[in-house]
Amino acid sequence: MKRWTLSEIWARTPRVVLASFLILFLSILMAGRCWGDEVATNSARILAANLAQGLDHRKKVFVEVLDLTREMPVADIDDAKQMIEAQFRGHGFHVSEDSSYDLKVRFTLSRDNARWLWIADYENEGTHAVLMEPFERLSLDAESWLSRAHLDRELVFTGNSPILDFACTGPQQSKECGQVLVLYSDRVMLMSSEKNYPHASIGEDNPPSRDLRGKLRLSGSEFEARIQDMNCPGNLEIVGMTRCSATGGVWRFSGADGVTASTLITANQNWFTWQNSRRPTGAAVKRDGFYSIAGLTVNGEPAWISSGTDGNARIVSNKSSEILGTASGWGSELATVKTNCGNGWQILATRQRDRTEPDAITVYEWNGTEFRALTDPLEMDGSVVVLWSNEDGGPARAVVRNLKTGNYEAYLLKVGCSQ
Amino acid sequence: MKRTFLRLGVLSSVVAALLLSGMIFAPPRASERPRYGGVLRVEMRERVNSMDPRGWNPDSVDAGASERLLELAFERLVRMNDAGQPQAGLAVSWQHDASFTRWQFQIRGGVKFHDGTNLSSDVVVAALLAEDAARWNASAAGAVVVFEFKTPRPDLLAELAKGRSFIFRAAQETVVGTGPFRITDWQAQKRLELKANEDDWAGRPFVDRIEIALGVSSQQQVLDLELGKVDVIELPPNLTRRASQISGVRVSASAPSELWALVISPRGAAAYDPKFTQALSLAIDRAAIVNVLLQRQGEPAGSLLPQWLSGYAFLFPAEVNLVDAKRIRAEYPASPLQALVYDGADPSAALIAQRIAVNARDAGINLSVSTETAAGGPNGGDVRLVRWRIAAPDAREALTELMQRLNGAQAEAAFMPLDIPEQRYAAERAVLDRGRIVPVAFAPEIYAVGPAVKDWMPPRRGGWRLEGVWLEQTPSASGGGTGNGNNER
Repeated sequence: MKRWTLSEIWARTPRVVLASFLILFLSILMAGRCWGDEVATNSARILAANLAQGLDHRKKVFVEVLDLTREMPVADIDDAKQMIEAQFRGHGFHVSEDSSYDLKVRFTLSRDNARWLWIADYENEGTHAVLMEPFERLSLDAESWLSRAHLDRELVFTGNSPILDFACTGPQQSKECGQVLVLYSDRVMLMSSEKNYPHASIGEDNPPSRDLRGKLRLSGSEFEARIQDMNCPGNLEIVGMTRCSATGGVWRFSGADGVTASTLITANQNWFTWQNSRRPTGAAVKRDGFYSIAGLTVNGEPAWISSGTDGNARIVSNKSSEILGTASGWGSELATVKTNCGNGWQILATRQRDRTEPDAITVYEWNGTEFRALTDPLEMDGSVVVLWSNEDGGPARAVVRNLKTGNYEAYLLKVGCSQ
Repeated sequence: MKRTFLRLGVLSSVVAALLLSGMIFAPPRASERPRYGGVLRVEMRERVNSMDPRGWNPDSVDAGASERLLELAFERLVRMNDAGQPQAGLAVSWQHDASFTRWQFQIRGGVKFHDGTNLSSDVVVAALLAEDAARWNASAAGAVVVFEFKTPRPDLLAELAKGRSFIFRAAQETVVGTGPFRITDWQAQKRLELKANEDDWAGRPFVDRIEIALGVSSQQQVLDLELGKVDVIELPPNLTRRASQISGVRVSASAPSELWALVISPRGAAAYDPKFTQALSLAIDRAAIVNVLLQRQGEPAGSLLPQWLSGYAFLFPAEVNLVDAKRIRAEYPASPLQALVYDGADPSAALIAQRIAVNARDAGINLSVSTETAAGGPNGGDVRLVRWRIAAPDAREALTELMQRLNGAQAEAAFMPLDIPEQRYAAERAVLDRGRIVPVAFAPEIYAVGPAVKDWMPPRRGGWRLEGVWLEQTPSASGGGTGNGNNER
């Protein structure tokens, strides 16, 4: 391993710092104004137009704009103010920039428990008048961004219903996800506006669990939607024809080099056990229950890593069922990603938090003797409620319940490296 | 320079080693996905009298507490989410005609009451008719319940999602529900014990059992939490700081969900003048009441609905203005309001009432303060300090409820349109201008939860969601949870 001298570090630091600032600056530029803010500005324009029509245009007007929600970027509030002033000017008003005015109109961006509101109020000839314009504002769709630590999260979509899993129909290494197949607790739906969002109801026969486990597997145009002990095979071309049947709770996970793990989901609960708990010799193996499982290779041999219900993660040889290593302190969700970095397989793990606190995902690697954190924890905006590996080792799929908005955000997680 | 780097290297190695040892030797903690098992222990101050939904009075003083208990065992056809949108409950879908006079509700299939009998549209109708036959003109048709009304009922979903519209099955002496927990032991005013409903249509709750002790003083609750004897307690504002200092304890407050207000009683109404009420309102230092008496757990109220619910509460000033208060007071030779009464069972009420009397005196309004009991009942004074729960999650419903509680001379306000924010603002303005009510403060529900309690995510407007709570258990008790009670602590 190369050892940096002080002069080398000094020589490189400014470039690193500059690059970081550049990335930050570009991110801000790329984010730009989102669609939701345009709705807000447009609603302010409508309210201003309604207000201007009812006032004496000979009055000199001063416009004040406030944001009680504190959710609108300052630049957008300034844009809204300019839009409002332009409306008044368009109606023949003289808009004052200072304290010399006849009428001060206050526009306040507020929100009730369901919607946003623009509220205009003013005192005019002894009366206090109020006008309001409610509007829906979509949640912000953040652009994908590259973390310093090479764990890249790419927002695919957001929604307000709990998402059990999703699958991109496009090539996953590209930025385009294509159409998205989404598994909800009661339906599977293809997010395809051209086809008017075809979907199939998975219906009321859902086995009940307060913490439903669901997973999608996509192969060409065929897919399997699995919820608890039900399996729903379907085809992207005829999503509406998807039908479900009980499977007895067997879940099969694909691992490295084509091996599969047969597991059983515990009835009406949220954790799994191994279906076959015997060594090749026939001896019984005691294996604890687990929440997550993902495949990888260790020294070129297929292996599995699982997050146990006892709080420990374990790497297990596929061949011998031997436990190769354990880790504590991780959360219950983990996935693996195959890359060209390090030993070729990286482990993504959440941290130990309940769902009232923001989660974070850290990339680890098993070097044969210990787990090594490759990245700083990537902070999420809420709890990671779903984290699944891709069948072919591609980007992992995560669903985050945003604590601020309550929305469910579907992300692709990609591990990059700069060796 | 090299030496500096060497030191830095040694230092960082030490830090890394400490961190690593912390990771290795730290005791295993629960992971974030919910785990099954355990007993959740709760204490409450209120002494709830009944667990029979038929006897529940939404207007009673302990209505909030008893509704929280009832909702553990009983469900309604519809429920409202935090944004006030109707969600499927025991009904999976619904439709209505253009005039909102005929509604149809499809009843959820496969739901069982706690006694093992199936939920059916007949039982739903029987429960609703037992609640109020005049209110619900309901009939059963297959798996559908049909409501037919002579006048439009556009708010039927909201009505079915609150109040006494619980669905139950009465058999002989017992009443059973379909809720996430089944009652195993009920001792009125003392104790409630519940067990997870294994057949719950929404999934078995995570905890095995809940034990709720009633009538426990707030001081005792905090002490029990300190000693690890309880997992969840209610908190009055004055104990919030103490509870938050207990190791591992989290204090959780809802959005403001209670309105403290002065209501001119029928006795005071005979002589009341809206302008004089305005003087009283201007004299009240609401910020001091919130900051000192409510320990910053709440917000000053100038309106009937809090800002989070209405979006326009900021338009109603809540600041003290003693100059204007005195000026208005001076226009009257004598104060038409002289006696202020409050609920003597509520320790916070006494403090707030006395503080208001001090503020009023500063403006020249002399109010004698006494408990409702001492004054011969709630209407024994000219002014009554009330603490009203804002139960509805929707601004329209919440305002309707508050206006109905004011009733009397305010009855006409109940017929005002309240569909859009502008109309609700106008209605609130009209009600407040009449001077029959003076908002004082909005307060939240406050709970302290012990370190073992996970996923404590109560509704924004207050209440519990104990079916979604799980317990961190000792490693020896873990192993995935069985749901059969083996993991109980």
